[in-house]
Amino acid sequence: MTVVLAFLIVVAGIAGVWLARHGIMEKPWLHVSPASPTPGHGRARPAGSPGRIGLRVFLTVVGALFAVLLSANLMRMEATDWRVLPNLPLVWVATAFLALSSATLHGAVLSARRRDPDGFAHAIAAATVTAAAFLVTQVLTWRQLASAGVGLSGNPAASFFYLLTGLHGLHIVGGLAALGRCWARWARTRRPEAVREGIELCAVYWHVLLAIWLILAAVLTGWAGAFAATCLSLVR
Amino acid sequence: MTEIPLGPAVETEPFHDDDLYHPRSWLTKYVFSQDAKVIAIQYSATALFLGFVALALSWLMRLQLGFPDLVTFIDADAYYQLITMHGMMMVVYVLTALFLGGFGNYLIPLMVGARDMVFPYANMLSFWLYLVAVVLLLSTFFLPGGPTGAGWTLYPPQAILSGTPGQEWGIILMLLSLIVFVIGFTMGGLNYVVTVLQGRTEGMTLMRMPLTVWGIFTASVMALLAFPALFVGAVMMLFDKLLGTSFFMPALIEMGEHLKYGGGSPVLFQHLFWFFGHPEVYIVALPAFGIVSDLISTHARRNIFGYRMMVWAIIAIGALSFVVWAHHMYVSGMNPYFGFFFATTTLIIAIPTAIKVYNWILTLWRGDIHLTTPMLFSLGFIITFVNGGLTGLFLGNVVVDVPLSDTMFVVAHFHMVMGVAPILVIFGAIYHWYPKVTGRMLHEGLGKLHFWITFLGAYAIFFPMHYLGLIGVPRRYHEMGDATFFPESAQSLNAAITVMALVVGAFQFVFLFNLIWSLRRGEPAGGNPWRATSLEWQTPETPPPHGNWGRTVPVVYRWAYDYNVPGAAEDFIPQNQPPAAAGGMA
Amino acid sequence: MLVAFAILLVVVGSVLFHLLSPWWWTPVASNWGTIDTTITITFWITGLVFTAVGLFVAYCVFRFRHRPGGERPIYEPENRKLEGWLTGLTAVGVAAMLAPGLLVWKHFITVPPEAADVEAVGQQWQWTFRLPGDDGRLGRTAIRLVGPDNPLGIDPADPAGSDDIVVDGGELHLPTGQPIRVLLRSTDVLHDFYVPEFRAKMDLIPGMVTYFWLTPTRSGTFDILCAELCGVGHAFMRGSVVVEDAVAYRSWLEDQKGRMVARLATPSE
Repeated sequence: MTVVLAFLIVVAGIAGVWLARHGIMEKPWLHVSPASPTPGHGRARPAGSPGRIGLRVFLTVVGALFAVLLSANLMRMEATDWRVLPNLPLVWVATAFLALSSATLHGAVLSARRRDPDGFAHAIAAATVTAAAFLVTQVLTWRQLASAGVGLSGNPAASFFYLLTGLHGLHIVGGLAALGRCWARWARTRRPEAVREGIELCAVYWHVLLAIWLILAAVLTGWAGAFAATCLSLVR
Repeated sequence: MTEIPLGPAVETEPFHDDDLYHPRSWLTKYVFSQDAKVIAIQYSATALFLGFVALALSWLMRLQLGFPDLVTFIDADAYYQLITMHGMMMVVYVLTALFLGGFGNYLIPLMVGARDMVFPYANMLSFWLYLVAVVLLLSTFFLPGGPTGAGWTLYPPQAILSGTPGQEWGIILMLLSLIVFVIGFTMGGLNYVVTVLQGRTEGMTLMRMPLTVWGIFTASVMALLAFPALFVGAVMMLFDKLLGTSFFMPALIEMGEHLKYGGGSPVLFQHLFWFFGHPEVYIVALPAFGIVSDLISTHARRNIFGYRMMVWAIIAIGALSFVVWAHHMYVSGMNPYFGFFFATTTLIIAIPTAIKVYNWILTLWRGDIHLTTPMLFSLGFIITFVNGGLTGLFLGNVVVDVPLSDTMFVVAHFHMVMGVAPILVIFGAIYHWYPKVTGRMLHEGLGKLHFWITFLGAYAIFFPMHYLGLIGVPRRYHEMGDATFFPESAQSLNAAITVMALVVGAFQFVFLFNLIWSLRRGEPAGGNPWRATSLEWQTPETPPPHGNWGRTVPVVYRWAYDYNVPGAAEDFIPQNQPPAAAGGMA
Repeated sequence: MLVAFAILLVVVGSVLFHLLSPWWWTPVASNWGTIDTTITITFWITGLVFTAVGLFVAYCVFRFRHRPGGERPIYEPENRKLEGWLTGLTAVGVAAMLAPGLLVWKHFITVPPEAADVEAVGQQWQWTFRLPGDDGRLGRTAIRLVGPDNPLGIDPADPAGSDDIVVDGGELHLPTGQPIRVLLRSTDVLHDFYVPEFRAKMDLIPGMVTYFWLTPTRSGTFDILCAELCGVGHAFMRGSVVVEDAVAYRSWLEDQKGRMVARLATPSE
């Protein structure tokens, strides 16, 4: 459970700093006023949009989900029946697609900020297509693996591969649904400003899912294990 | 009751009508509602219904334990199905749903001065997914093989193999139901957390929030972080059951036949399960801690003693509860050296918990204790919680746990600490807030009758049960059979416990009757019958309509515990009362 | 008012029940009397706290209940000194329980080198035992080798296993005074080897070998129970363990060896 504990320590650290800045030490009975008694810190009235904060909290939950899965993966790895998966070049193709999708979505955010409707339309179209290409590559990877005789059951490394990439894919599908709503609003209004916040949220979601994907790909292909082994041998 | 002049209606946030979702028909107002208060009532009603189902199941299992020779219609299969469904229903579908989905939805927006939750649509979906989860769970009673009898902990390999009842549909639907529950809860939990972060009204700083909000907020954060582990465990077990993977399944023999599984680790599931399961205890306990603090303070007419310590203790307990999970696994064959770490963390948690108890009882000291029904339930909570908490020190201390684990001592302990104690708080809270929800008081006489039977009866059920565990009676035995260490007299103790369980259970229907009867016949309550300070009692209308606050949201000037402030005219000062109108120290 | 007396009744009743009721643990039959000592320490500390809190609550309710014209409550948001003292005292109480507990745990997980091995195998829903032969070592096992002829899956290729003594029928004998390491194995689901008089218990995990150790100290026949839910037969998964002096134990062991030889002579029916 080391991965998930490390994840929780990071979350606890952020929460601790936030609480400290919002006057967790103040004595509330001493002050009678709508203003905050902690000068310089702790706004009397929270600022920021609920959507933005909501997405951050949701991504923390997603992070916890994948941290738990990675913990399970590492614990199960210690059993004797674990066999490293065959080389899967398609994983890196998928990675490239997802990175591209993430980058173009960031481009869409920039165009929306510049109020550039053409750039915006191109960027979200590119982001959607590359995200779909990521999913298709994903399915092709599974088929390649299955045709190599590595099914869902049998080798636990494969079981984890299918499970983790599948869950990650479902999150991308969910993201595409959110992106679809932005599309619909864009089609109605034709104003990038109207969908700016939605696209910004999508972009943050994409970046985090890309980060999770990179970690998953590194662990699942055995690349992370090999890297760790090299580091250890250097230390010794 | 004197009306207290509230501050000038500060037009801080003009009420844009179109900001809020507006129900257009009966269906969207009462069924597919996005109003947190309606969702709260939907959650509570469903959870209470399930609570009564779980109560009926507990009656049946107690009949079997008390009178094994008379009750011939319950065999081992049925008994295991009863305990499994009772446990899972109570822990997840009743207590979690009531505290977070019920009280959280109703109280968070009102107590922090918001008009509603921040994501009303997701909030509505949360309830409907919860209902789907409940339907999936209950449907197993009617499917071939019946519900699963794997125990509420669902330990593999046994949970998905023959030899355990409900291995056809029961376990599959149980796992699916948990998966749906977690997804639904995540939608609700996001609301509870973000509403506290973002929806607070002007002046409602973190340290001015009532402890109820602190408890529910911290519990929601914990649930968001802990439920993924349950989700992962359920998904992986479903894969093992349906798709032949070996996440948790080692090479084994089922009824003389070699199965295709191999290499999996049953202990891995236990780690995932308790990584969710232990925080879950506090997900139930922290809202109860928060609520009972407010009940004690209001009905003892004193500020809660040591508010800051109370907040810090809630946060400390919430954080520590993520590093104690393996104290459920001391005899599970995990690395024995983990025992040192987990025993230490577990016993450390006793310190912030004890601080909370001291502060509750120090709030009573030199108070003006009104022995209303909510106060009685709070006192009952203190006694049962202290009792159950102290027996936790036995089970947390690794070597003491060795003889006691998997015995009736454990059953007695967790029923006292996370069954009886939080349920007493739920009752107290319902007697306390029912007037706000309905505009009418619950009947005090019936309430007191309900309290006396429930408190004394439940204590008499679970206190002696510890001693069955000390003798060595294992849990999850539908009958003791012949055993040299088990004295004949212990069976009579078992029978007495059963009789008490039947009586206490029967008197819960008095409570149900009171809930329904008072809806029409209860005494009209007015807006603030308990003369309480927190914002939910200051709404312009009772019950609060959609949007809660009429034209202007309240502005908060003070903390939630200004009772009997020296020099003040009244014995309480509402949170939204400006300094000039209050008088006194300030 | 009434509730003050009720709380008093609950506290006094609990203490009296604890002291006077006939229900208490069975006399210990192993070296783990030290576990009983830690439980007793815990009972004293927690009992004192429970009584003190209960009596304090009862007193407060009696003394500060609402009365017309009663005194006005105090307004005291916090008292850091009092809270500090209470926290400190609690920490001392917790340490007083934890320290002996961890010491005994250290002892519990340190198997003495002279301990003799005994294997207990759980199968739905019976116990089988295996003792090493004259070589003092148990042979390797594997689940895939389990079959009607070889219920424990002993590996025939391992010479250490050739003289192993399999004891079926669910009755195990142990000599007094000899440290025993009980190795635990399951061929199907989770079980738990539990003898109330020994105080020790441990889960059986399929795919793993778990263990605990004890020294039997008192002769007698004790029940072996399964303490981890293992399916519908869970409550009936019984065995017994006979603790006896070294002489009686040796004659039982010779008898078991004889049976083993007879069984090997007629391999299968």
